Amino acid sequence: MAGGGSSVEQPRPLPCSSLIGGAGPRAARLPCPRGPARPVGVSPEAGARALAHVGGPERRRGRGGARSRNARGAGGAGRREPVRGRSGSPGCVRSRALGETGAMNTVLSRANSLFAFSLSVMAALTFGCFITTAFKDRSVPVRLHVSRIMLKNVEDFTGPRERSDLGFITFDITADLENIFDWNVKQLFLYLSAEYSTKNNALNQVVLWDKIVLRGDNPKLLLKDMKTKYFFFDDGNGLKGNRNVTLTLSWNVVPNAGILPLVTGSGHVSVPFPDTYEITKSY
Amino acid sequence: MVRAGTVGTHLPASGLDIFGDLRKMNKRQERRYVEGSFHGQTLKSYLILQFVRLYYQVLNFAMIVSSALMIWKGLIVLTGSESPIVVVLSGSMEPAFHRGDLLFLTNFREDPIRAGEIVVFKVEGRDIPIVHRVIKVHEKDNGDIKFLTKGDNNEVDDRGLYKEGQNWLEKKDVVGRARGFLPYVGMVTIIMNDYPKFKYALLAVMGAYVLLKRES
Repeated sequence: MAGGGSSVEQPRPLPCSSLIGGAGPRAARLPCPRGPARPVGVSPEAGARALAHVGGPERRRGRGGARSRNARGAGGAGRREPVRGRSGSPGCVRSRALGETGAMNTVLSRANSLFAFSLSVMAALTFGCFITTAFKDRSVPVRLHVSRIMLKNVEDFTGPRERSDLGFITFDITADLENIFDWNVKQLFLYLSAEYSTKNNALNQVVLWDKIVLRGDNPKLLLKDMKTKYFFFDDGNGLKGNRNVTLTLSWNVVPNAGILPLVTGSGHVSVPFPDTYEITKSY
Repeated sequence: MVRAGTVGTHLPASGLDIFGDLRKMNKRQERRYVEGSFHGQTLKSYLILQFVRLYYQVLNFAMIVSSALMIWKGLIVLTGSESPIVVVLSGSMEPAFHRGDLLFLTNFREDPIRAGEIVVFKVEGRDIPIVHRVIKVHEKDNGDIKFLTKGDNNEVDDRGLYKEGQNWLEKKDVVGRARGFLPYVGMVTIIMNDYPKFKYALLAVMGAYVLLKRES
């Protein structure tokens, strides 16, 4: 209890921060006489009462034991009780260093708070972008039409030097992609792929043509008589006489942040390839 | 604050019940500090207390590091990919992915490789994985797949990047398939790779902050 005695003149003790580095959370509960900064955990009434004991001139006195001595000495026994009951301490031993770290009175701490706040706001926005569009159906109807097909058999000059089937296709695409674009779509990567199966391979997929549609570009596709961008080489000679080569238009949705789905347009066209090779004509 | 209960027992052979003091300090608190003396062996108890605080901080730091490691390894298991989060280093997939964007990969065995997918693959003999799009797939009955890739921003396919004489990639070259995307966040990794001094400076500052931070 108050064994220290109110009238004992004590030597000014070491400030706690230098002794054990800030004295831990106990000291943080003490009301601090310096300015409006109030450490966490103390109630305003206890702080006000502690200050009220101390009075005007003592407030200027500075730190540590001088403060506590005055707080103990100044009030009556009855007044002292509530203060001790709340914070359990007779006075403030806070050092000057702590009074500053809790506040926003240096450029560095302000910059730190600002940076942390803006980072968390951006993270929340990004997550919001992602979660509001994560489960959307990005499919639209597509109309495809193939107007001309030709088949040749040449050495595959794009890679494996074997004689392979080379197909030529002229196609039309009609699609309206406007409903796909929302606040979280950066671009659409469209690609026309041909899918078929052959004797050698159970499944073949070849991308014949692609296009990038950015946000802001015209989303309505009305393409006629398009030639393929890439060579339609088969891995072997499986295109000859192939009855079922299916062309589909698909797109890869690239978001501002979030999932990268691959969506196939609803609408495809199946074309048969000729049984003979075209030797004389060029496409 | 050091919990004396968890830290342990009395110090041996010193006759000094420091941890008992730490426990009791909660109740007697500032009087001890105000009066400025422990058992009279102020310096010894001060040093021991400092040691205990440092030990606690080191343990704290070690726990943070091992939690981060556990999360990373857990992600590797969850996604099936050896590198579930990658940073785009080149501009060959622009305008979809720019340098510094983050990609989230999965590599589940039951997901087949199909045309149009964005795959991250490693060419034999090179460490750096490449992020490109699959443009050709040939799959046999027994499940053997060979595929060809091309970057969106490149004119030609990747056969020039593969090994000498290699025309196709196989499933074993795949690190993962890109499933998610986050812009700009990977710039930190790129800066640290391009300017190693920055990386060392950052580590030094973080280490100093952790070790010197006061418990207040």
